[in-house]
Amino acid sequence: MSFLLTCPNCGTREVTDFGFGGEASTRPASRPSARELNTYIYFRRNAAGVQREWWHHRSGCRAWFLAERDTRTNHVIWTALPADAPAGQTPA
Amino acid sequence: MSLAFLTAAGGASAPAALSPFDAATTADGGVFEVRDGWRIASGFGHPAAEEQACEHAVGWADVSHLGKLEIQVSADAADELAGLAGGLALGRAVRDRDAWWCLLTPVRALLLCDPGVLAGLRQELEANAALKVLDVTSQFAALRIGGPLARETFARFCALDLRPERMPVGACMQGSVARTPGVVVRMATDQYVLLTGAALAIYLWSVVSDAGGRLGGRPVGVDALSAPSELEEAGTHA
Amino acid sequence: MSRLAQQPGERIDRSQPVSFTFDGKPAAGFAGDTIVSALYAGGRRVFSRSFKYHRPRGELCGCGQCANSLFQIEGAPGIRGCSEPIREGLRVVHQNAWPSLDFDVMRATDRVGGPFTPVGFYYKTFIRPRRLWPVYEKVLRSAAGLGRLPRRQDEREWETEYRRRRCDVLVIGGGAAGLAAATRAAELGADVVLCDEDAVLGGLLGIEGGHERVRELEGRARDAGVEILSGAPALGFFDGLVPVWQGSTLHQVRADQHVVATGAIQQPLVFADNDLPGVMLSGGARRLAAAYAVKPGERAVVATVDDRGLDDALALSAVGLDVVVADLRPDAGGGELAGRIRAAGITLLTGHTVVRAQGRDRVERAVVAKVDARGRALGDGSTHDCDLIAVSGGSAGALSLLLQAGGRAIYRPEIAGFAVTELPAGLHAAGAAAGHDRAEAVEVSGAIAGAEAAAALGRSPNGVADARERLAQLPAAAPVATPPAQASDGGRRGKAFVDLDEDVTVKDIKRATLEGYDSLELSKRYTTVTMGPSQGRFSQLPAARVLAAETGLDLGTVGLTTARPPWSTVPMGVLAGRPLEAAKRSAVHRRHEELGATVRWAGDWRRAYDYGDPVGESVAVQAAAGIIDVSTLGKLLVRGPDAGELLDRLYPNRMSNLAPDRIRYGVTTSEAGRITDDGTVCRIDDETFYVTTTSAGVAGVEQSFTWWLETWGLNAHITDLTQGVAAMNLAGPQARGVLTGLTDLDCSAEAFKYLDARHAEIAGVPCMLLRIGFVGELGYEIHCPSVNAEHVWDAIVRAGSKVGLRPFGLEPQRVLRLQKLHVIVGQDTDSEMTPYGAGMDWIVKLDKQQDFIGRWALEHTAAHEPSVRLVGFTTPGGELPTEGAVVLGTDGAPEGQVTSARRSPRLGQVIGLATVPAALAGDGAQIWISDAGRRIAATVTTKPFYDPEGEVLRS
Repeated sequence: MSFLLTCPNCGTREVTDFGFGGEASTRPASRPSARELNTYIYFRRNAAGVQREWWHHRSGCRAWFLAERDTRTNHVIWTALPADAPAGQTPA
Repeated sequence: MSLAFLTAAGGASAPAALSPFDAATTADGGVFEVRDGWRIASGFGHPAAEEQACEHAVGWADVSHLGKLEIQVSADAADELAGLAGGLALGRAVRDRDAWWCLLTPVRALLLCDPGVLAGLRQELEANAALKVLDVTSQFAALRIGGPLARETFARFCALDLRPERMPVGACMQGSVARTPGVVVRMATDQYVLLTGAALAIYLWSVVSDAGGRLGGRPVGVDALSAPSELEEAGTHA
Repeated sequence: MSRLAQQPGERIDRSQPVSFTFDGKPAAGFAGDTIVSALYAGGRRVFSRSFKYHRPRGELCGCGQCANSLFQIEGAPGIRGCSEPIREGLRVVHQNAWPSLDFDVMRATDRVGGPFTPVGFYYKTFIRPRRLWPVYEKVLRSAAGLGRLPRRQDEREWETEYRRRRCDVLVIGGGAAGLAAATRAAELGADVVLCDEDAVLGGLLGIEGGHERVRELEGRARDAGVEILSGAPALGFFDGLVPVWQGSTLHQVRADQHVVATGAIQQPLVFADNDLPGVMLSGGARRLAAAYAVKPGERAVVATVDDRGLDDALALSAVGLDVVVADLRPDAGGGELAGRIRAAGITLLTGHTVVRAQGRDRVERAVVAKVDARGRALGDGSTHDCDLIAVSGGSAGALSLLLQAGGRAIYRPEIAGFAVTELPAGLHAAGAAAGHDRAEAVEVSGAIAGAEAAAALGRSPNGVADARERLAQLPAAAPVATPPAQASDGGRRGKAFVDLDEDVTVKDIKRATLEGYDSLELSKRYTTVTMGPSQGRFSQLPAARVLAAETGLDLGTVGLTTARPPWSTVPMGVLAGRPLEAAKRSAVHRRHEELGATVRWAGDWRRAYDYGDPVGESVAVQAAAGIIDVSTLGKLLVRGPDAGELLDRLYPNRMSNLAPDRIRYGVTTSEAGRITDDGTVCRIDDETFYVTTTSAGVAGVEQSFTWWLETWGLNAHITDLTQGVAAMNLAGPQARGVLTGLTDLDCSAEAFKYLDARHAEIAGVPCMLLRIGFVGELGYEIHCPSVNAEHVWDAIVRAGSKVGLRPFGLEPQRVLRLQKLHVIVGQDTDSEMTPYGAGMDWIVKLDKQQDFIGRWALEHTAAHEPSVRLVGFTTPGGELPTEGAVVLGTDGAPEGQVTSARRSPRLGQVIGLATVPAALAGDGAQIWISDAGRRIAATVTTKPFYDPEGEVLRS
């Protein structure tokens, strides 16, 4: 795995510059049931296809940003700071 | 309580600040003098060879004494930050008032300056209530890397795209350098300043010596690379 | 000697003789020779012994692609003799044969081994009885593998430089197509790098008489500014990053556009004993003659299915070999080449092929026969005396890099092989890899690919449409006959190999099919076909043909397996990286070295474990005073109007009500309520908190904190100050006295209480002092700018030396904190440990208003007794259990483990921390520790061994 990723602040870098933050998920807004909590903590969609996910530019500006990436090809469709991310399934 | 403990001791009786490279520059035969409260390697005992390296290969000088300030704003005051120094932009190092101003994110900027102007600039910035200023001078080790093989030297330990069209004079790039977070500013055609974490200085020195040494380079005194740079000549519009 | 007169375009420099040794005996050649060309010129025909049957093997490809001539060179195994240049004094040694290459006792596996070493024998034979496996393993290990790794570490080390190269276009392959592509792209203004595995550019064109044209093309490429890397194979395609290995440099090339012009690989033919030395690819034989002026034999039978074989036959004839040609095509292609063969007086047998090679350890005769579509001989055929069987079984495009880059292979019957389609954007194929076989078409296709690559970069090439038209009008590729899975005279003797690397025969694939391994992927894993060093270059198609014949499927359905990187063999050392570790060092590190510290890794830091006397150091701390460098602590500044709110949401306890100049301990937990880190929080002013973390945890904590900050949209900044702030812990009964002498600050117990923070100048340096004590004594954690740290350290050590202060390392610190039962996160906690399990119930404030990370899980946890608890223990018998030893439950089952254990010099007993079943977690409970066969009795305690009420700490 050595694709490129574009940090919204710094520009395009090797993927090894970044920390992977996992697929974007939503924290329950209020106290969840045991089942909901379990799902929130332990379950991931693990999509074979395009997914929205978090990345952290740990070797650069240290900002978190969102990306949409095809997990089968590592083709990155877009990256954006959370405030600028296209509408869609939004994180917490 | 205050954050005074982040700023190196100052004043006439204060001990000289030691660069994080000090153990390495000492081991490499550095010749030292105290300037602006810092113990600085003004050479390595071979002035002709040092000049030769800078002119024909690559030289690297410890410039960790450069003053460094981090300027922070809240998201709603981002314009305040971007408006400093006549206008900051991501990826650019703007030269203004003897300092380079680098916007790192819309809400964080890094200022690099000569130690002599640090206190004044800081005072001025702190007068603006929207800005929070942190002295991060001790946080970073700084190397000035210059010479016709400077870019090739970088290629031996980092994947940053330093091709001139991506990294023109006056550009600032953050990213992994020698497998550690780094900031690179291109000051002139063949001149770069590289910042990494201070605790990694000895490691970084060995990496640069390893790469630069194979290309015919060597460590040089702090003034060897300080000829007026294109950026400095170009002034504020850089 | 079989050196020819000077050949046009030869690579050797006859004015520069080179001597080297082979198996200790002197050998000679010229500068420009490869190991094989020099040895071949000297008369050697056997270059290796095969992997499984130890059959003698001769030269096959002549260009560094096959595994038939791998040698051991000065400690490095697996060097390809047909591409490795000779150097003066080089010591070359054979592999995989004992006692010698020419007489190998393991050959017995071939002569008698048939029934005992069937395909998959290692899966079947060595299973039972299980207890004998160690014996089998020993025997197998000595029998398996090819070269030998050097025993000495210094002989194993490689000096490789790494070089990142960004460019617009990377052209892989320096034949006519690659050179044309690179030149075209560079002339259009692109920054181009071209690499080729061969030491000399030109590919097939250079071998087939086009060396003048190669020189022209190469000159143009250089003039256009192409950076040319020769002797430099591209190892693979990794999401656009292509490592190119060139001697002592690994170029890591990242290009925007890629042109793959890797050519085609001539294929062998399958017949009985097709591995006898003297059976060679016709291109390999021709290469020996053209590039190295070595006469490959005297009498040759050329067996071909395509025009390339005919062309090679003419070339061999031209250098003086007696040649007979067997062309499987009924009309020998029907082109002008057949006419030229006949005109040269060469016997041409059409519809014929070689069905058997004969000879004792080298080719002496070839049996040639007319065959039917399935390869069975029609009639007895004819026997020809010869010392060379040159075969051309068609061409397979070298597609691996294209496939790795995302292309898809489809079967094309008209070329009897596979071609690539659906190339992803930015990837271009040219030349033989794109299916072109005539020189002019190859070159034109290259120029088109170069123009297309430049166009994709935004340049505007002219004449691309014209070039395409020209390419379309060039004569189509000459017809190729599809070789049968095996050509056979029906005789039972001899082995017909589909894979020379792995000694896999037609029979093996058939047997595997019968046993149910009837797809190529299964067959590959069972028979290991295509898994040898040549990565299926010569075995992929033959194996697929056998499988197709056995299963009745067509080749397109059988398909190809994917050749994984590296596409060319590369020493591990080249990939290992330069031996420089990204080590962090404290600003006081020089002092530790001067004091003779035992320096070890702690996370990514180099730390002083002790200064040679851990017991004495720990005693000094408790008797007088000690100082330890704790600069590795993570230090985060959290600043902004919402800083307190943020910390309240991140910690299970409250932080926003902390008064300025006060300190509070905290653990962070995950959403699952598990402990992730711990440290102290100090409030500097209303909006500013100074947070310390564990040494190893700071990056994770910073990432987590900034993520939540971003997610919640709170107004605060988090800045990592770890490397700019040095920290040292001054502790012990004399600590206050030492400190008082160095500062104007009122350090009295009343003015500077436990968990207070103060600003002070120490020896003229601005410092922040935190009154906390990990080691359980009265102590001060002193934080100062790292550039002044040596000065502060020196001042404290100088002042303290009068009262017996000693620097102490990590190891004595661990003993001291264990006496206090202070937990080290990561040592005493694991990913399942909750604050409740760690005995820190008090730190979780479920009554606080804010939601916080882990709250919901902790609410659940609080309602249940944890299954294990972390408690202290002593061993009355004085045994020191190993950390990690098992703690047994009441029923004797393993239920917990020892997380820390030390002998305490002060207490004179063994103390430790362990997770134990909740039922045994009370003071005085007896537990049993099972430690590698020992059973150790231990007594549980929940109170610190030292200063249980914290009076010393607060004094």
